[in-house]
Amino acid sequence: VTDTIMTLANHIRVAPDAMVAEAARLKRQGYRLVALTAVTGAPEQLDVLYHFDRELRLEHRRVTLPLGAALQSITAVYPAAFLVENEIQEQFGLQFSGLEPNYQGRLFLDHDSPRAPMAPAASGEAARHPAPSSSAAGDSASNEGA
Amino acid sequence: MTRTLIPFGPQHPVLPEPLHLTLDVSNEVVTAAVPVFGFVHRGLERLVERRDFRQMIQVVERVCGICSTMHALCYCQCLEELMAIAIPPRARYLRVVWAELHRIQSHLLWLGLFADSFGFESLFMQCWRIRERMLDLNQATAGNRIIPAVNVIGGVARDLGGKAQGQILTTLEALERDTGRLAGTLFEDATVRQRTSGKGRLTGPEAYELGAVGPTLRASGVAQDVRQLGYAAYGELEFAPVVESDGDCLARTRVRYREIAQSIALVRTALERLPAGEIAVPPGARKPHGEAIGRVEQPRGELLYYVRADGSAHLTRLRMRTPTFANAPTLGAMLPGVELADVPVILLSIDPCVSCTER
Repeated sequence: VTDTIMTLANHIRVAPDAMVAEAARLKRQGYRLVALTAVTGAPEQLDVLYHFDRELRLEHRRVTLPLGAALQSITAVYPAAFLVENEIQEQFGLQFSGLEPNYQGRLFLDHDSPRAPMAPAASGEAARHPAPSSSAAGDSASNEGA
Repeated sequence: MTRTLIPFGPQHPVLPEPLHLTLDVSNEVVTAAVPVFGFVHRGLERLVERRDFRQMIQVVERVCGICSTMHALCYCQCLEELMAIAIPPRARYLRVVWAELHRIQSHLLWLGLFADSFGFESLFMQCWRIRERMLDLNQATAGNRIIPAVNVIGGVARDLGGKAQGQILTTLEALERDTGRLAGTLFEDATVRQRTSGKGRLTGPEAYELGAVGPTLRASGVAQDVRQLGYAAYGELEFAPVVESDGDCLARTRVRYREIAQSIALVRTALERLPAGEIAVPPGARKPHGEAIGRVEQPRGELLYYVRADGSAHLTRLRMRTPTFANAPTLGAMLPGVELADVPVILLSIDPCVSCTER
Protein backbone atom coordinates (compact mmCIF):
# COMPACT_ATOMS: atom_id res chain seq x y z
CA VAL A 1 0.00 0.00 0.00
CA THR A 2 2.75 2.41 0.95
CA ASP A 3 6.46 2.01 1.34
CA THR A 4 6.29 2.85 5.04
CA ILE A 5 5.71 -0.75 5.76
CA MET A 6 8.95 -2.51 5.04
CA THR A 7 9.05 -6.23 4.93
CA LEU A 8 12.34 -7.70 5.95
CA ALA A 9 12.85 -9.29 2.56
CA ASN A 10 15.59 -6.74 1.91
CA HIS A 11 17.85 -7.63 4.81
CA ILE A 12 21.48 -8.66 4.34
CA ARG A 13 23.21 -11.31 6.44
CA VAL A 14 26.44 -10.25 8.10
CA ALA A 15 28.91 -12.45 10.01
CA PRO A 16 29.02 -11.56 13.74
CA ASP A 17 32.65 -10.45 13.65
CA ALA A 18 32.05 -8.24 10.58
CA MET A 19 29.16 -6.21 12.00
CA VAL A 20 31.20 -3.38 13.52
CA ALA A 21 32.96 -2.79 10.20
CA GLU A 22 29.61 -2.93 8.40
CA ALA A 23 28.13 -0.36 10.83
CA ALA A 24 31.14 1.90 10.26
CA ARG A 25 30.69 1.58 6.48
CA LEU A 26 26.98 2.50 6.72
CA LYS A 27 27.76 5.44 8.98
CA ARG A 28 30.27 6.78 6.45
CA GLN A 29 27.50 6.60 3.85
CA GLY A 30 25.28 8.79 6.04
CA TYR A 31 23.08 6.17 7.65
CA ARG A 32 21.39 6.78 10.99
CA LEU A 33 21.04 3.95 13.49
CA VAL A 34 17.31 3.37 14.06
CA ALA A 35 17.19 0.29 16.27
CA LEU A 36 18.42 -3.19 17.05
CA THR A 37 16.01 -6.08 17.44
CA ALA A 38 16.85 -9.44 19.00
CA VAL A 39 14.75 -12.37 17.85
CA THR A 40 14.98 -15.99 18.84
CA GLY A 41 14.71 -18.02 15.67
CA ALA A 42 16.05 -21.50 15.11
CA PRO A 43 16.67 -23.57 18.26
CA GLU A 44 19.70 -22.40 20.24
CA GLN A 45 20.14 -19.42 17.95
CA LEU A 46 19.60 -15.72 18.30
CA ASP A 47 19.14 -13.23 15.46
CA VAL A 48 20.14 -9.63 16.02
CA LEU A 49 18.67 -7.28 13.44
CA TYR A 50 20.26 -3.88 12.89
CA HIS A 51 17.98 -1.25 11.37
CA PHE A 52 19.52 1.82 9.73
CA ASP A 53 17.99 4.54 7.63
CA ARG A 54 18.98 7.30 5.27
CA GLU A 55 16.34 9.78 4.11
CA LEU A 56 13.77 7.45 5.65
CA ARG A 57 14.77 4.42 3.56
CA LEU A 58 15.47 1.49 5.86
CA GLU A 59 18.39 -0.91 5.56
CA HIS A 60 18.49 -4.09 7.63
CA ARG A 61 21.41 -6.29 8.64
CA ARG A 62 20.96 -9.68 10.27
CA VAL A 63 23.54 -11.33 12.50
CA THR A 64 22.86 -14.90 13.63
CA LEU A 65 24.76 -16.38 16.54
CA PRO A 66 24.46 -19.26 18.99
CA LEU A 67 22.75 -18.58 22.32
CA GLY A 68 25.20 -17.53 24.99
CA ALA A 69 27.74 -16.20 22.48
CA ALA A 70 29.21 -12.71 22.74
CA LEU A 71 28.92 -9.96 20.15
CA GLN A 72 31.09 -6.89 19.65
CA SER A 73 29.27 -3.69 20.63
CA ILE A 74 28.80 -1.07 17.91
CA THR A 75 28.93 1.79 20.45
CA ALA A 76 32.39 2.72 19.17
CA VAL A 77 30.68 3.61 15.86
CA TYR A 78 27.20 4.63 17.04
CA PRO A 79 27.49 5.66 20.74
CA ALA A 80 23.68 5.87 21.05
CA ALA A 81 23.49 2.07 20.61
CA PHE A 82 24.36 1.69 24.30
CA LEU A 83 20.72 1.69 25.43
CA VAL A 84 19.47 -0.96 23.05
CA GLU A 85 22.55 -3.16 23.47
CA ASN A 86 22.07 -3.03 27.24
CA GLU A 87 18.42 -3.95 26.76
CA ILE A 88 19.27 -6.98 24.59
CA GLN A 89 22.04 -7.99 26.99
CA GLU A 90 19.73 -8.14 29.99
CA GLN A 91 16.59 -9.40 28.23
CA PHE A 92 18.23 -12.09 26.05
CA GLY A 93 21.44 -12.86 27.91
CA LEU A 94 23.61 -11.96 24.92
CA GLN A 95 26.86 -10.38 26.10
CA PHE A 96 28.17 -7.33 24.22
CA SER A 97 31.90 -6.79 24.49
CA GLY A 98 33.14 -3.21 24.61
CA LEU A 99 29.72 -1.92 25.68
CA GLU A 100 29.94 1.45 27.42
CA PRO A 101 28.16 2.32 29.68
CA ASN A 102 27.34 -1.22 30.73
CA TYR A 103 24.32 -1.36 33.05
CA GLN A 104 25.21 -4.96 34.09
CA GLY A 105 21.64 -6.19 33.69
CA ARG A 106 20.08 -3.26 35.58
CA LEU A 107 18.64 -1.13 32.76
CA PHE A 108 15.03 -2.27 33.10
CA LEU A 109 15.39 -5.27 35.40
CA ASP A 110 15.85 -5.31 39.12
CA HIS A 111 17.87 -7.57 41.43
CA ASP A 112 14.85 -9.87 41.96
CA SER A 113 13.66 -9.91 38.32
CA PRO A 114 13.89 -13.14 36.27
CA ARG A 115 17.27 -13.32 34.50
CA ALA A 116 17.21 -12.90 30.69
CA PRO A 117 13.39 -13.14 30.55
CA MET A 118 13.19 -13.00 26.75
CA ALA A 119 15.72 -15.79 26.16
CA PRO A 120 14.25 -19.11 24.96
CA ALA A 121 15.49 -20.95 28.04
CA ALA A 122 13.29 -18.69 30.13
CA SER A 123 10.07 -19.42 28.28
CA GLY A 124 9.03 -22.09 30.78
CA GLU A 125 6.24 -21.38 33.25
CA ALA A 126 8.73 -21.22 36.12
CA ALA A 127 10.57 -18.29 34.64
CA ARG A 128 7.34 -16.58 33.67
CA HIS A 129 5.95 -16.80 37.18
CA PRO A 130 8.87 -16.90 39.58
CA ALA A 131 7.70 -17.99 43.00
CA PRO A 132 8.09 -14.83 45.09
CA SER A 133 9.79 -16.34 48.10
CA SER A 134 11.53 -19.54 47.04
CA SER A 135 13.21 -18.21 43.87
CA ALA A 136 14.22 -14.87 45.38
CA ALA A 137 17.20 -16.35 47.15
CA GLY A 138 18.34 -18.19 44.04
CA ASP A 139 17.97 -15.11 41.87
CA SER A 140 19.96 -12.86 44.12
CA ALA A 141 22.66 -15.51 44.45
CA SER A 142 22.97 -15.86 40.68
CA ASN A 143 22.92 -12.08 40.24
CA GLU A 144 25.98 -11.70 42.38
CA GLY A 145 27.94 -13.62 39.81
CA ALA A 146 26.90 -11.23 37.01
CA MET B 1 36.07 22.61 42.19
CA THR B 2 33.79 20.29 44.12
CA ARG B 3 32.58 17.22 42.31
CA THR B 4 29.18 15.92 43.43
CA LEU B 5 27.03 13.04 42.20
CA ILE B 6 23.38 14.04 42.34
CA PRO B 7 20.56 11.53 41.96
CA PHE B 8 17.85 13.30 39.93
CA GLY B 9 14.55 11.41 40.22
CA PRO B 10 12.91 8.94 40.00
CA GLN B 11 10.60 11.03 42.20
CA HIS B 12 11.03 14.66 41.23
CA PRO B 13 8.44 17.47 41.10
CA VAL B 14 9.06 17.98 37.39
CA LEU B 15 8.66 14.34 36.38
CA PRO B 16 5.18 13.00 35.64
CA GLU B 17 6.72 9.50 35.35
CA PRO B 18 9.66 7.91 37.17
CA LEU B 19 12.99 8.40 35.47
CA HIS B 20 16.37 8.72 37.12
CA LEU B 21 19.41 10.67 36.01
CA THR B 22 22.76 10.30 37.72
CA LEU B 23 24.20 13.78 37.39
CA ASP B 24 27.90 14.42 37.81
CA VAL B 25 28.01 18.04 38.95
CA SER B 26 30.96 20.32 39.48
CA ASN B 27 30.22 23.73 41.03
CA GLU B 28 26.56 23.65 39.90
CA VAL B 29 27.54 22.73 36.34
CA VAL B 30 26.68 19.28 34.99
CA THR B 31 29.68 17.41 33.60
CA ALA B 32 28.01 14.07 32.79
CA ALA B 33 24.53 12.53 32.91
CA VAL B 34 23.55 8.86 32.78
CA PRO B 35 19.85 7.92 32.48
CA VAL B 36 18.55 5.03 34.58
CA PHE B 37 15.25 3.32 33.84
CA GLY B 38 13.41 0.29 35.19
CA PHE B 39 10.89 1.75 37.62
CA VAL B 40 7.80 0.88 35.55
CA HIS B 41 9.05 -1.89 33.22
CA ARG B 42 6.19 -4.25 32.36
CA GLY B 43 7.59 -6.60 29.72
CA LEU B 44 4.58 -6.06 27.45
CA GLU B 45 6.40 -7.44 24.41
CA ARG B 46 6.14 -10.93 25.87
CA LEU B 47 2.37 -10.73 26.18
CA VAL B 48 2.22 -12.00 22.57
CA GLU B 49 2.65 -15.46 24.10
CA ARG B 50 -0.68 -15.16 25.90
CA ARG B 51 -2.81 -12.79 23.83
CA ASP B 52 -3.62 -13.54 20.22
CA PHE B 53 -2.77 -11.05 17.50
CA ARG B 54 -6.22 -9.41 17.64
CA GLN B 55 -6.16 -8.98 21.42
CA MET B 56 -2.71 -7.40 21.16
CA ILE B 57 -4.32 -4.22 19.79
CA GLN B 58 -5.73 -3.56 23.27
CA VAL B 59 -2.31 -4.28 24.78
CA VAL B 60 -0.35 -1.93 22.51
CA GLU B 61 -2.93 0.83 23.02
CA ARG B 62 -2.04 0.67 26.69
CA VAL B 63 1.73 0.95 26.27
CA CYS B 64 1.22 4.67 26.76
CA GLY B 65 -1.87 6.73 27.51
CA ILE B 66 -0.73 9.75 25.54
CA CYS B 67 0.05 8.11 22.20
CA SER B 68 -2.25 5.07 22.35
CA THR B 69 -3.77 5.61 18.91
CA MET B 70 -0.32 5.75 17.33
CA HIS B 71 0.73 2.42 18.85
CA ALA B 72 -2.42 0.73 17.56
CA LEU B 73 -1.95 2.34 14.14
CA CYS B 74 1.63 1.11 13.86
CA TYR B 75 0.68 -2.38 15.02
CA CYS B 76 -2.28 -2.63 12.64
CA GLN B 77 -0.14 -1.47 9.71
CA CYS B 78 2.35 -4.29 10.41
CA LEU B 79 -0.40 -6.89 10.65
CA GLU B 80 -2.09 -5.62 7.47
CA GLU B 81 1.23 -5.98 5.68
CA LEU B 82 1.67 -9.56 6.90
CA MET B 83 -1.94 -10.46 6.04
CA ALA B 84 -1.87 -8.65 2.66
CA ILE B 85 -4.81 -6.40 3.48
CA ALA B 86 -5.30 -3.09 1.65
CA ILE B 87 -7.52 -0.90 3.81
CA PRO B 88 -10.32 1.19 2.23
CA PRO B 89 -9.56 4.85 1.32
CA ARG B 90 -12.04 6.21 3.89
CA ALA B 91 -10.24 4.29 6.64
CA ARG B 92 -6.88 5.75 5.56
CA TYR B 93 -8.27 9.29 5.88
CA LEU B 94 -10.01 8.56 9.20
CA ARG B 95 -6.72 7.23 10.57
CA VAL B 96 -5.11 10.58 9.72
CA VAL B 97 -7.93 12.48 11.46
CA TRP B 98 -7.62 10.54 14.71
CA ALA B 99 -3.82 10.46 14.61
CA GLU B 100 -3.61 14.23 14.22
CA LEU B 101 -6.25 14.89 16.90
CA HIS B 102 -4.13 12.67 19.12
CA ARG B 103 -0.97 14.61 18.29
CA ILE B 104 -2.69 17.89 19.22
CA GLN B 105 -3.69 16.68 22.69
CA SER B 106 -0.22 15.19 23.24
CA HIS B 107 1.55 18.42 22.26
CA LEU B 108 -0.79 20.45 24.51
CA LEU B 109 -0.08 18.07 27.37
CA TRP B 110 3.63 18.58 26.77
CA LEU B 111 3.35 22.38 26.49
CA GLY B 112 1.67 22.38 29.92
CA LEU B 113 4.26 20.08 31.50
CA PHE B 114 7.05 22.11 29.95
CA ALA B 115 5.62 25.35 31.39
CA ASP B 116 5.43 23.57 34.74
CA SER B 117 9.12 22.63 34.45
CA PHE B 118 10.11 26.29 34.66
CA GLY B 119 7.48 27.08 37.26
CA PHE B 120 4.93 28.87 35.06
CA GLU B 121 1.83 27.39 36.68
CA SER B 122 -0.81 29.56 35.02
CA LEU B 123 0.59 28.73 31.56
CA PHE B 124 0.52 25.04 32.52
CA MET B 125 -3.16 25.37 33.48
CA GLN B 126 -4.06 27.26 30.31
CA CYS B 127 -2.47 24.56 28.11
CA TRP B 128 -4.30 21.79 29.95
CA ARG B 129 -7.56 23.75 29.88
CA ILE B 130 -7.28 23.94 26.10
CA ARG B 131 -6.36 20.25 25.97
CA GLU B 132 -9.63 19.37 27.67
CA ARG B 133 -11.40 20.30 24.43
CA MET B 134 -9.49 17.54 22.67
CA LEU B 135 -10.32 14.98 25.34
CA ASP B 136 -14.02 15.90 25.10
CA LEU B 137 -13.70 15.48 21.35
CA ASN B 138 -12.14 12.04 21.81
CA GLN B 139 -15.09 11.06 23.93
CA ALA B 140 -17.61 12.42 21.44
CA THR B 141 -16.04 10.82 18.37
CA ALA B 142 -14.40 7.66 19.73
CA GLY B 143 -16.16 7.00 23.03
CA ASN B 144 -13.06 7.36 25.22
CA ARG B 145 -11.30 10.41 26.56
CA ILE B 146 -7.79 8.98 26.76
CA ILE B 147 -7.67 5.84 24.62
CA PRO B 148 -9.65 6.34 21.42
CA ALA B 149 -9.64 2.69 20.37
CA VAL B 150 -10.37 3.30 16.71
CA ASN B 151 -7.79 1.21 14.84
CA VAL B 152 -8.55 -2.38 13.91
CA ILE B 153 -6.78 -4.75 11.55
CA GLY B 154 -8.27 -3.84 8.18
CA GLY B 155 -9.27 -0.25 8.88
CA VAL B 156 -11.03 1.66 11.65
CA ALA B 157 -13.77 0.66 14.07
CA ARG B 158 -15.77 3.89 13.94
CA ASP B 159 -16.98 6.21 11.25
CA LEU B 160 -17.33 9.96 11.47
CA GLY B 161 -20.76 11.13 10.38
CA GLY B 162 -21.72 14.69 9.46
CA LYS B 163 -22.51 15.63 13.06
CA ALA B 164 -19.19 14.34 14.41
CA GLN B 165 -17.30 16.07 11.62
CA GLY B 166 -19.08 19.33 12.47
CA GLN B 167 -18.11 18.89 16.13
CA ILE B 168 -14.47 18.38 15.16
CA LEU B 169 -14.39 21.47 12.96
CA THR B 170 -16.05 23.64 15.63
CA THR B 171 -13.62 22.41 18.28
CA LEU B 172 -10.63 23.03 15.99
CA GLU B 173 -11.80 26.60 15.43
CA ALA B 174 -11.90 27.23 19.18
CA LEU B 175 -8.57 25.43 19.58
CA GLU B 176 -6.93 27.59 16.94
CA ARG B 177 -8.13 30.73 18.72
CA ASP B 178 -6.98 29.47 22.13
CA THR B 179 -3.55 28.25 21.06
CA GLY B 180 -3.04 31.49 19.09
CA ARG B 181 -3.27 33.35 22.39
CA LEU B 182 -0.45 31.24 23.86
CA ALA B 183 2.11 32.39 21.27
CA GLY B 184 2.88 35.73 22.90
CA THR B 185 3.65 34.13 26.26
CA LEU B 186 5.51 31.12 24.87
CA PHE B 187 7.80 33.00 22.52
CA GLU B 188 7.97 36.64 23.66
CA ASP B 189 7.75 36.52 27.45
CA ALA B 190 11.15 37.47 28.88
CA THR B 191 11.10 34.91 31.71
CA VAL B 192 10.14 32.06 29.36
CA ARG B 193 12.86 33.01 26.89
CA GLN B 194 15.39 33.21 29.71
CA ARG B 195 14.67 29.60 30.65
CA THR B 196 14.42 28.15 27.12
CA SER B 197 16.46 30.17 24.64
CA GLY B 198 19.94 28.73 24.09
CA LYS B 199 19.33 25.95 26.64
CA GLY B 200 20.08 22.32 25.88
CA ARG B 201 21.48 23.00 22.45
CA LEU B 202 21.82 20.05 20.10
CA THR B 203 23.32 20.52 16.63
CA GLY B 204 21.84 18.85 13.56
CA PRO B 205 24.77 16.42 13.07
CA GLU B 206 24.69 15.52 16.80
CA ALA B 207 20.94 14.87 16.73
CA TYR B 208 21.28 12.72 13.61
CA GLU B 209 24.26 10.75 14.89
CA LEU B 210 22.55 10.06 18.21
CA GLY B 211 19.49 8.72 16.41
CA ALA B 212 17.14 11.47 17.65
CA VAL B 213 13.60 11.47 16.30
CA GLY B 214 10.55 13.71 16.10
CA PRO B 215 10.54 17.32 17.31
CA THR B 216 13.90 16.74 19.04
CA LEU B 217 15.46 16.01 15.62
CA ARG B 218 13.50 18.57 13.62
CA ALA B 219 14.27 21.41 16.06
CA SER B 220 17.94 20.87 15.14
CA GLY B 221 17.29 21.52 11.47
CA VAL B 222 16.85 17.95 10.20
CA ALA B 223 13.71 17.70 8.04
CA GLN B 224 12.79 14.11 8.80
CA ASP B 225 9.28 12.95 9.64
CA VAL B 226 7.91 9.45 8.98
CA ARG B 227 4.70 11.01 7.63
CA GLN B 228 6.76 12.02 4.58
CA LEU B 229 6.59 8.36 3.55
CA GLY B 230 2.87 8.75 3.00
CA TYR B 231 1.37 6.01 5.19
CA ALA B 232 -2.40 6.13 5.83
CA ALA B 233 -3.46 9.12 3.69
CA TYR B 234 -0.47 11.41 4.36
CA GLY B 235 0.81 10.84 0.82
CA GLU B 236 -2.29 12.62 -0.51
CA LEU B 237 -2.26 15.56 1.92
CA GLU B 238 0.79 17.53 0.70
CA PHE B 239 2.63 16.95 3.98
CA ALA B 240 5.91 18.77 4.70
CA PRO B 241 7.68 18.52 8.08
CA VAL B 242 7.94 21.45 10.52
CA VAL B 243 11.62 22.35 11.01
CA GLU B 244 13.47 24.81 13.24
CA SER B 245 17.20 25.35 13.26
CA ASP B 246 18.32 26.62 16.69
CA GLY B 247 18.36 23.18 18.36
CA ASP B 248 17.52 24.57 21.83
CA CYS B 249 14.54 24.21 24.16
CA LEU B 250 12.84 27.19 22.52
CA ALA B 251 13.21 25.62 19.06
CA ARG B 252 11.72 22.35 20.30
CA THR B 253 8.78 24.36 21.71
CA ARG B 254 8.35 26.12 18.38
CA VAL B 255 8.31 22.84 16.45
CA ARG B 256 5.58 21.37 18.65
CA TYR B 257 3.59 24.61 18.70
CA ARG B 258 3.70 24.85 14.90
CA GLU B 259 2.82 21.16 14.61
CA ILE B 260 -0.45 21.86 16.43
CA ALA B 261 -1.39 24.30 13.64
CA GLN B 262 -0.19 21.78 11.06
CA SER B 263 -2.31 19.01 12.61
CA ILE B 264 -5.37 21.28 12.57
CA ALA B 265 -4.79 21.90 8.86
CA LEU B 266 -4.27 18.19 8.16
CA VAL B 267 -7.53 17.26 9.92
CA ARG B 268 -9.44 19.92 7.99
CA THR B 269 -8.03 18.78 4.66
CA ALA B 270 -8.60 15.11 5.48
CA LEU B 271 -12.24 15.81 6.38
CA GLU B 272 -12.74 17.91 3.24
CA ARG B 273 -11.43 15.12 1.06
CA LEU B 274 -12.87 12.23 3.09
CA PRO B 275 -13.81 9.57 0.52
CA ALA B 276 -17.12 7.74 0.78
CA GLY B 277 -17.25 3.99 1.26
CA GLU B 278 -16.36 1.25 3.70
CA ILE B 279 -14.29 1.90 6.84
CA ALA B 280 -12.77 -1.57 7.20
CA VAL B 281 -12.03 -4.79 5.37
CA PRO B 282 -12.81 -7.82 7.54
CA PRO B 283 -9.64 -9.92 7.75
CA GLY B 284 -11.71 -13.13 7.92
CA ALA B 285 -9.82 -16.23 8.95
CA ARG B 286 -6.48 -14.99 7.63
CA LYS B 287 -3.51 -15.32 9.98
CA PRO B 288 -0.31 -13.26 9.85
CA HIS B 289 2.82 -14.93 8.51
CA GLY B 290 6.34 -13.55 8.09
CA GLU B 291 8.33 -10.57 9.35
CA ALA B 292 7.43 -6.91 8.98
CA ILE B 293 8.53 -3.50 10.13
CA GLY B 294 6.06 -0.69 10.66
CA ARG B 295 6.79 2.96 11.28
CA VAL B 296 4.54 5.79 12.38
CA GLU B 297 5.30 9.38 13.38
CA GLN B 298 4.15 9.61 16.98
CA PRO B 299 3.92 13.01 18.74
CA ARG B 300 7.39 12.32 20.19
CA GLY B 301 8.86 10.99 16.95
CA GLU B 302 9.35 7.85 14.95
CA LEU B 303 7.79 4.72 16.41
CA LEU B 304 9.07 1.43 15.00
CA TYR B 305 7.43 -1.97 15.38
CA TYR B 306 8.92 -5.29 14.37
CA VAL B 307 6.48 -8.18 14.10
CA ARG B 308 7.22 -11.82 13.42
CA ALA B 309 4.45 -14.37 12.92
CA ASP B 310 4.30 -18.03 11.97
CA GLY B 311 0.70 -18.30 10.80
CA SER B 312 -0.71 -19.14 14.23
CA ALA B 313 -2.93 -16.96 16.40
CA HIS B 314 0.04 -15.84 18.50
CA LEU B 315 2.86 -13.69 17.18
CA THR B 316 6.31 -15.12 17.77
CA ARG B 317 7.88 -11.70 18.38
CA LEU B 318 6.70 -8.16 18.84
CA ARG B 319 9.27 -5.47 19.35
CA MET B 320 8.57 -1.78 19.89
CA ARG B 321 11.22 0.91 19.55
CA THR B 322 9.56 3.98 20.98
CA PRO B 323 10.61 7.59 20.33
CA THR B 324 11.78 8.35 23.86
CA PHE B 325 14.07 5.30 23.73
CA ALA B 326 15.66 6.89 20.64
CA ASN B 327 15.80 10.38 22.16
CA ALA B 328 17.22 9.42 25.57
CA PRO B 329 20.88 9.31 24.35
CA THR B 330 20.61 12.98 23.30
CA LEU B 331 20.49 13.92 27.00
CA GLY B 332 24.11 12.81 27.24
CA ALA B 333 24.97 15.49 24.66
CA MET B 334 22.63 18.23 25.89
CA LEU B 335 23.23 18.15 29.63
CA PRO B 336 27.04 18.41 30.05
CA GLY B 337 27.91 22.07 30.52
CA VAL B 338 24.49 23.25 31.69
CA GLU B 339 23.63 24.57 35.12
CA LEU B 340 21.89 22.20 37.49
CA ALA B 341 18.80 24.47 37.58
CA ASP B 342 18.31 24.00 33.82
CA VAL B 343 18.28 20.19 33.95
CA PRO B 344 14.49 19.84 34.50
CA VAL B 345 13.69 22.14 31.58
CA ILE B 346 16.11 20.40 29.21
CA LEU B 347 14.95 16.94 30.28
CA LEU B 348 11.32 17.90 29.64
CA SER B 349 12.23 19.41 26.26
CA ILE B 350 12.60 15.93 24.68
CA ASP B 351 9.03 15.17 25.87
CA PRO B 352 10.13 12.01 27.70
CA CYS B 353 7.57 9.22 27.84
CA VAL B 354 8.75 6.65 30.35
CA SER B 355 5.80 4.27 29.88
CA CYS B 356 6.72 4.00 26.19
CA THR B 357 10.41 3.57 26.90
CA GLU B 358 9.90 0.80 29.43
CA ARG B 359 6.93 -0.92 27.74
